[in-house]
Amino acid sequence: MSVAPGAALPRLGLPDPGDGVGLREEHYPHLMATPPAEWGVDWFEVITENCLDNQGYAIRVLEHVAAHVPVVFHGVSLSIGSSAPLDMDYLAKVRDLAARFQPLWVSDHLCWTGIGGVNSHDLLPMPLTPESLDHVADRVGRVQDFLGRPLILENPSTYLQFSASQIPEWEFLGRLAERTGCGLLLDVNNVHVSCFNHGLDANAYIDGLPAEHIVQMHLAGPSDCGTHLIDTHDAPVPDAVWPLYARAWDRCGPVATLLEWDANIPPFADLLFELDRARAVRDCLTSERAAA
Amino acid sequence: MAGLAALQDWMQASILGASGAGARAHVLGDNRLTAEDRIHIYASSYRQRLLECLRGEFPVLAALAGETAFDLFAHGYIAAHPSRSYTLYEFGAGFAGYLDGARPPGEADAPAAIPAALARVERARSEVFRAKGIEGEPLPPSDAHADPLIAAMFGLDGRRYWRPDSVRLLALPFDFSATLADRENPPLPLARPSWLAVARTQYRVECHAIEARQYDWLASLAEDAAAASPLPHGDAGLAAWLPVAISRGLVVPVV
Repeated sequence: MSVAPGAALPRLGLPDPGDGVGLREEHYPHLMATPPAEWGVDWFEVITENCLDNQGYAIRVLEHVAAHVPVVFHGVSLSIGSSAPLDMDYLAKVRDLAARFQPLWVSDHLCWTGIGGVNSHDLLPMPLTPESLDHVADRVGRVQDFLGRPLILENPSTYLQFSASQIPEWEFLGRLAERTGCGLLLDVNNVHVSCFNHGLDANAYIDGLPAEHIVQMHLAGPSDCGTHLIDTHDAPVPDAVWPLYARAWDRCGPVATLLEWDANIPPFADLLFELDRARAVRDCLTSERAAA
Repeated sequence: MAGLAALQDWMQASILGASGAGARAHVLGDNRLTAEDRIHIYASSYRQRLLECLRGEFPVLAALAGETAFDLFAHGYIAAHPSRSYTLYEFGAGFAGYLDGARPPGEADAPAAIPAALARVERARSEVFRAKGIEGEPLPPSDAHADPLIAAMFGLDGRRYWRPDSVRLLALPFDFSATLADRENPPLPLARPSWLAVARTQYRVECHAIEARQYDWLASLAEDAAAASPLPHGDAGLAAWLPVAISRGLVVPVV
């Protein structure tokens, strides 16, 4: 495992905003009643689709939040891997939203969500083939041109692998990033989930990613279904994920860290506790480095 | 692209149809999960996600119908109307129409018509929640007339009115007042005509029972300040109700 000097890594000109959490409706009252200096987070990640065609309270809260700390838009419906044409109406709305709120970046997932106009609202896995790589690379280029900014793509949690796949996911992401200049969002929990589900080596996955393209990491808690893990974002980060986070940080840090919690959402203080744990993991690494 | 398209075509059909047919030809299985099991994870997640979306948007109907009946409605809708939008918010838009179409033929106020009518109310709440509201609108100037009621009745105050996008008007064959008041254990509605205005003020969405005359007037108003119109000449009832309508965000006055 190589240790990269983080400060020297090119990160597509994007800043490292520090530690953040997802902006969720359950926390609106807390955030609107608490002075921003006391929020305890450096930035927020906002689900892009929750803000499109919305002129309600979610936008009022977003205005307030974005006036005080950086925000990032994280999408779930880009469907970059779909064989269906890109949805230019959707992209135009994302571009308009980004122009209004000036997020640090716009991210989505290496996946497809549907074809023929259908949206499964799931992050469906790609067959990882040279053909898919050409297809996705072409679309990433078109999206980046349209949005006028680098696209950041996240590794999804997957529950199946196609027999047609020829390229490991980490290599697919690396080659995609090198070809298109896109950034990568390394979801450490998703690495844990996918590698458990497919019997793969999570350390090898993290070591195989191009550190210089990783601009953000995700942490979350999955559900253990016995035979497999599901990426539910409804629990604290499990013990198995923290060593992976340490390994990823060792290779790629310093880089933005974000805690996702989307179901059974606890009080805001519980999210801060998880970020404290992330900070403790990093402090440990720093101490180890100093001792070495 | 042909290979990718064919594979995605197969996988989407498998998820929507909850079928594992052909899975072994395309998906790797192992001693923990077969290829069919792995497709099943996506197929069941798909249904569960959309079911939870409907439960979230129609909580009173879910409570009134009970879990078994509501889930039956929901699964029928999910099978008949796959989501076609980038946002889950749109998914519930056709639920009331689906329930109307699925019910046995009968009178508009037959018990079987209750689910669709209630779904219409709850969908209106969702729409109003996200609509462009009046939170940023300037407050109307204070009334300088000695008798504001007379001034409003005869248009002497020069005010005209428009209906903001954050209002939905419903003419219903049932009275849902008691049903909506107890969202945990909602009683059945009364089978009698009612008129409802769903509106938002300070980002709070509320359902207001209104009279037919008030419904007709609100429905006649433009949704654009530039096309605002005065109160019907000499209508004392509407003039007396105006302050209430304004305070509830049902109309916006312009001078």
